[in-house]
Order: sequence, then structure tokens, then C-alpha cells
Amino acid sequence: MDIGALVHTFFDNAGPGGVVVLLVIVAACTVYYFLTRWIVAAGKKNDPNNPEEQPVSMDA
Amino acid sequence: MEPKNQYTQKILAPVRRVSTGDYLLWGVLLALLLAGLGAWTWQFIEGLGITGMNRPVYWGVYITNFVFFIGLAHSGTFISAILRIAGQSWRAPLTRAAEAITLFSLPFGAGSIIIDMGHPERILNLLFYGRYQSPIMWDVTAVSLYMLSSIVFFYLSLIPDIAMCRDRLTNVPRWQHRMYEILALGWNHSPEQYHRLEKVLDGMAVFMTMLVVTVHTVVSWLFGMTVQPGWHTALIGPFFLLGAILSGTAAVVIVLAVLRKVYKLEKVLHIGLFNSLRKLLITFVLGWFYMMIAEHLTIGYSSMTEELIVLTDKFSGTYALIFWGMATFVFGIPLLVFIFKGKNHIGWMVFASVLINIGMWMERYIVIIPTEVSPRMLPVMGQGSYLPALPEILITIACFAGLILLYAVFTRFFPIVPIWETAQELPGQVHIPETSPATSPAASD
Repeated sequence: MDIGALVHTFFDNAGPGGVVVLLVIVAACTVYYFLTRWIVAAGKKNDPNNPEEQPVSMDA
Repeated sequence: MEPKNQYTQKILAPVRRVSTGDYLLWGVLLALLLAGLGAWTWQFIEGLGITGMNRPVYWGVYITNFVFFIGLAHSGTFISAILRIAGQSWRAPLTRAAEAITLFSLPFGAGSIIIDMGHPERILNLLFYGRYQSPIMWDVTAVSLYMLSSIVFFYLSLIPDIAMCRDRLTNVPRWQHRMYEILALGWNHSPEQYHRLEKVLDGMAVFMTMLVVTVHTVVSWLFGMTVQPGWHTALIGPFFLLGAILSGTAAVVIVLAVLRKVYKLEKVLHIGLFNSLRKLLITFVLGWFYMMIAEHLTIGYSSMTEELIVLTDKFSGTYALIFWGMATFVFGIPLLVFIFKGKNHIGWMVFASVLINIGMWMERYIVIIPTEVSPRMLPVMGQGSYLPALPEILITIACFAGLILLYAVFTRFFPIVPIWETAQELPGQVHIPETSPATSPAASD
């Protein structure tokens, strides 16, 4: 397999560029989605719902 | 249990009500934005011929705005990411104000490219026919990823404070409270959530630092990869990057001063922050000046005819006034102000920072236009000329108005100072920032 020719084809042809941009964005979205879920999920394990710990409303 | 911060009520105060003055300001800014939208529609119908651009001047103030706004967007990443990695905890009160500049200036930077295309649907050509031979593809990749990452970085650090708005602001309109509920993602201030959040933000800070360097280097390569006088130099990347960080940091000073005054946040956004930023700005101004000398010295030393035409145009020709004005605004006056007047004087700091940003816009203009007017193949292309036309001026004003509008609206719905990052105690741990909001000016200078 001629890798040089493959690289050459990638850079010279119309089309692959758009696919790469989309792949990068979709991959980043996926990673960020799971990171956000992972952070927030930590609170669901030990949700205290303790009335004593509820903050005081500023507007009350 | 939510983080303990003695300034929580003070920070949340601006979020509780929208005044008549706010509506008035938003109305004026919206009118300017609509005027720009009208000018864009006019340009869309008539074509780019109604702008000052012509052959061979294909790039005008739209590209100037593009580089300027992308540069401005570096403020947030610099303050939040780079100083986070460096362990500079004094930056905590100003991170969100800086990140918001990033978030709201990026759309106008990226949008300027689309405006410059004449027909916005042409952006699809990049997706369908894009090839990585072209620097524009590198730029689209870098800027898109930067924009997405900035949004996530900004939002993640905002979640705990949104949760505090959800819990504390019970008297706001129902839709607003619902918005907090949705955006808080069920955050309940558990120690583990904070632990994970810090971990992810630390990791992202490293990635964002890499992105910030990449993005502005790639932006400069849009110029550098064309074999045009004044642009085809390896120094253009670091030169653009340093200029971006300089204008971004100066913008942070302006925004902080306005927020401090309008929202009465003197104790939170204390003078010590401005003194720390002053030292950074002195360093950046000197660094930028060095890069400017390096760039023009290497170009001038070659004595290549086409390079010298552009250089002479800048130094003593048509663009001399803008060039020397730019040097005075970015380097001369600010450096003197920062050294002799800036310490403990916010007014002087703001004055110098405004000059820096005006100067940096002029710098972007002076990089682009003289080269476009006298391109490398001058005998073939012909001598050009350029003056921005009315649509370009209106669209430029609209971009600035849009940025201010987004910022002003944001500060009325979300806390502009991160409550949890400036808290004296986080759930499950004692977290005392090294530079607490009440730090005296002398302590941090």
C-alpha cells in the first residue's frame, strides 16, 4: 500500500476535508457530552435532600 | 450544601432585576445590530461590489474584524486556562468575565468570514468540496473546535452557580427559574461533583491552552501561506498570538472596570486584580513590541522589491499615519501609563486598555490592507486602493454592538463572578483562595 499516495490523495482531493471537520466536531461533542454526564452523575449517588441543608432564598 | 461565600448575595444582586436603563441600553444595541443586519441583507442582494473591496483588494475590514474578534476571544482562555495551569488562584474572580468575552466575540469573529463570502451558503462548499491543501480548512477545523470547547469550558464552570440561582432566586419570572432548573442539570453541590468538575476543568485547561496557540497560529497562516509581501514569514504565528493575548487581556480590564462600577462589585473585583493584570499587560506590551521589530526587521533586511513597497507604504507612505498611530496606541502610551500611572488607578488602566484595543484593530488593518493594495505580482494585478464602504462600516459597528449586547444581557441573568470558585469553603473541603476577594491592593502587587 502506497501511504505517500494516500496522503497525497487526502490533501489534493475535494471532499475529505469536510469529512475530517465533521468528524472532529462530532468526536468533540461526544467526549464533552459524556464528561458533562460523568460530572453531574456524581451528585445522583448521594443526593441528601436534607431540609437543613437547603439554601435560604434571597427573594423570600 | 452549597459553597460558602461571604459575597454570594452581592454577586447575585445584579441577576435579580432588569432595570429600565438595561432595556434602554439593549434597545440601542439591538438597533445597531439590526442596522448591521440590514446592511448585510443589502450586500447579499447587491453583491460584494457595494463594499470597498475590489481587484486586487479581496480582503477588507471583514477580515480585519475576523482577526480582531478571534484575538479578543483569547482573553478567556488565557485567564482561565493558562493561569489555571500555572496555579494562579488570584484569577478566580475574573475568570467568568474573561471567558464571556471569549464566548461572545467568537461568533462575530467566525461570522465575519461568512459575511466576507458574500453568500453565506458558500460555507457549505467547505464541507462538500473541502481539501486540506487549503489553510481555510485548517482554520475552520481549529476555530470550530475552539468555539465548541470554549462553550463547554464556560458552561461547566457555570453549572454550580446556575444551581445556586435555581435555589436562591425564587422570585424571578417563571421562565427564568425554569431556565435555571434545566441548565443546572440537577446539580446538588455534592463534594464528588465538585471534585470531578475541578478534575475535568484542569484537564480541559491543558487542551484549551493547546487550542489557543493553534487557533491564532492557524489564523495567521491564512496570511502566511499566501506568498504575499509582509505575510510570508514564519514569525507571523507568534506575532499574531501575542497580539491576541494582549488585546484579550486589555479587554478583560475594560470589562472588569465596567462591571465593578455598574454592579457595585468593588469588594469582589478588588484593585489587586487590576494590579496583577497591569503586570501581565506590561509584559505583553513589551513582548508585542519585540515581535513587531523582529517581523519588520527580517522583512526589511531582505530588501526584496515587493516587500519594500509594502514596508515603505507603512513606514512613510499612505498608511504611515495608521502604522505609527497603532504603534503609539499599542506600545508607547500604554507602556508609560501602566508603569507610571496604572498602579492602583483603574481609570488609567482602562484608558490604556481602550487604546490597546483600538491600536490592535488598527494593527490588524495595517497587516491586511497595504499588502492587498500592493500584491506580489503588482505589474499583473495592478495597484489597488481601498476604503471601507458604508455596509462594511455598519456591519463592523453591528459586530461590536452585538458583542456588548450579548455580554450585557448575560450579566443580568447569570452571575458574572464565579461564586463557587471564589468561595471560602466548598462542600466536603476547605477551599480558601490564596487571593480572597478582600485582598488589599498592596498584597497582590
